[in-house]
Amino acid sequence: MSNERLTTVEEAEEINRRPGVLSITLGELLDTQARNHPDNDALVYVDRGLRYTYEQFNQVCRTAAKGFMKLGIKKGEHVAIWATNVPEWAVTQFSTGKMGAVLVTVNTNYRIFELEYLLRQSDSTTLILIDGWKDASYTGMINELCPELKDLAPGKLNSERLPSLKNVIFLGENCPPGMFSWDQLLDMGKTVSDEELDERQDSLDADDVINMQYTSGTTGFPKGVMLTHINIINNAIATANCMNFSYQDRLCIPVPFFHCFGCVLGTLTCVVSGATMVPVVAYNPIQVLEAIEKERCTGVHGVPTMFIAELSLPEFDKFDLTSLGLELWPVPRVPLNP
Amino acid sequence: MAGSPCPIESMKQVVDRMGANEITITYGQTEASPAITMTKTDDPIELRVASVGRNIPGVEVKIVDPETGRDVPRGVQGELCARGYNVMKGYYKMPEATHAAIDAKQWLHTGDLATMDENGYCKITGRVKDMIIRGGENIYPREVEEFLYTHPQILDVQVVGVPDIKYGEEVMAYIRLREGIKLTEEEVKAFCDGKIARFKIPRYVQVIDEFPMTGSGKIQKYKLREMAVESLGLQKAASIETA
Repeated sequence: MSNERLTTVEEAEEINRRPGVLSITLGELLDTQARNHPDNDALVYVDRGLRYTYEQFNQVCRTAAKGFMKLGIKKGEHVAIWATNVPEWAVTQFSTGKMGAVLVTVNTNYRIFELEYLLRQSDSTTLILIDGWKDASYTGMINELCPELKDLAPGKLNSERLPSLKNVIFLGENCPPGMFSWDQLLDMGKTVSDEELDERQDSLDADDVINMQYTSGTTGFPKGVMLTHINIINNAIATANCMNFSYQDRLCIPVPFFHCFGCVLGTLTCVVSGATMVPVVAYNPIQVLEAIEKERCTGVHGVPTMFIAELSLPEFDKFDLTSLGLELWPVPRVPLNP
Repeated sequence: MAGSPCPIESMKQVVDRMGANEITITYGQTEASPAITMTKTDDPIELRVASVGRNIPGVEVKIVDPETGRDVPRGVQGELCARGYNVMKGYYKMPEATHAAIDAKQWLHTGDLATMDENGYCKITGRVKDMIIRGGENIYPREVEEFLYTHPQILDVQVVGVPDIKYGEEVMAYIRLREGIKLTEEEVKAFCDGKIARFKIPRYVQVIDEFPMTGSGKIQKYKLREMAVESLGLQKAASIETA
């Protein structure tokens, strides 16, 4: 694989202890952790009994990466994801990181006007989405934007309003017409060789943009913030250091993946440490406490309003939270007042 | 946390009741990947509840006068700027916005107001863009908000500048009250009278149930401003163009 470029990396458990700026890609990072902590839990979902070790997580990310390559997605192409913290989100983050597509994260609260703006402005060629969330139908909105979608074969979209968009990938049961299902993507991935993926991964530069997030636009139109492998991996390392994080830690992640707090300070901070990600699909205080208790989480992320919600549950004292030591409370620009 | 009583109290509860004795706070923004400063698990508890910590390794932080761009002395409020490996490559297809955010020497201008103490610990005190200019006087909404928080019946408050024909801008406070409580505009003004400078006393006070928020939970002050223009009939003042 990419061993030559990793000669400067010490043992994986020391990645987050290494001084200076680490110049590796997301794909190289995950390969390294899968070699050094193959049997450690990487990703665990309490609500659906899903558990991937680092070895398994790396394998599923490799298969999905090959699926994106089979779709013809090139290095630097933009792949948007519009979903709650489902397992496929984390897999997409690292699989696009392996094959070099830029992951464009879409706010789960967006509605049709914002979605159209984001997909157009970002030149996304692929949209990955769930059926919907709360009272919003994501599939309804994409069909409204691209009424031709349902009558075309998957991957053949040619929309007037969204000229760049070709592929729509659906996460969940009962894949609507015109879209690929996640299973189809994984099946396509099985037809691409490991060598082709390794070659692609080796062709990436740690200075390449790999992640794009739209700032919430407290003023004016949302702007796509371009972040490189170096940007986010090193920021996760610094965060892991401040949290005194190691491969023995298990982090409950109830904050949204679409935001840096979820996908850098959350998932990536775990992966640079070889630690375990325990996401909650959509914020719910009971589920957070359940996840902490069942998985013996040593840390939990949150904003003040989340912690307040957890503390004010009548059942709060019934949960065993003795595993917990660490919390991360970010100050997004201005301190939040709960 | 800028000495704001609510969050500090909540943080203490998180430490005491959740057993999170290693609680850490990070400050940042997406443009900085996001972390810029962070408290460490071994920082003294006072600093872990009342500051956003120091610059993370490999990232430089400085506080500058937003007008002149010069460094301000320790303890003085200014705009927090960051430089290092964590600063974004830019905004996609928006070179002008990128140049406005990252200067020629690669400093990212966060738009956030902060102070830094002798040991490098920072406190976030407000936003540059939120600054209200009323008849030439600069008013930091955060300061007025901090004061109004001390009113026992006020649960939460947001202060914004609204257009005004005479002064350019006027101070407006949107307040959330504790359940079952009534508070009039006059009572709020009377509470301020003599305790803060007259020009900072909100000209308008309105009670609100919830603040408009972005998807990621940031309060949208510009929406509050729009609401104020609508409800107070300030369209004429709002349409005045300035150089």
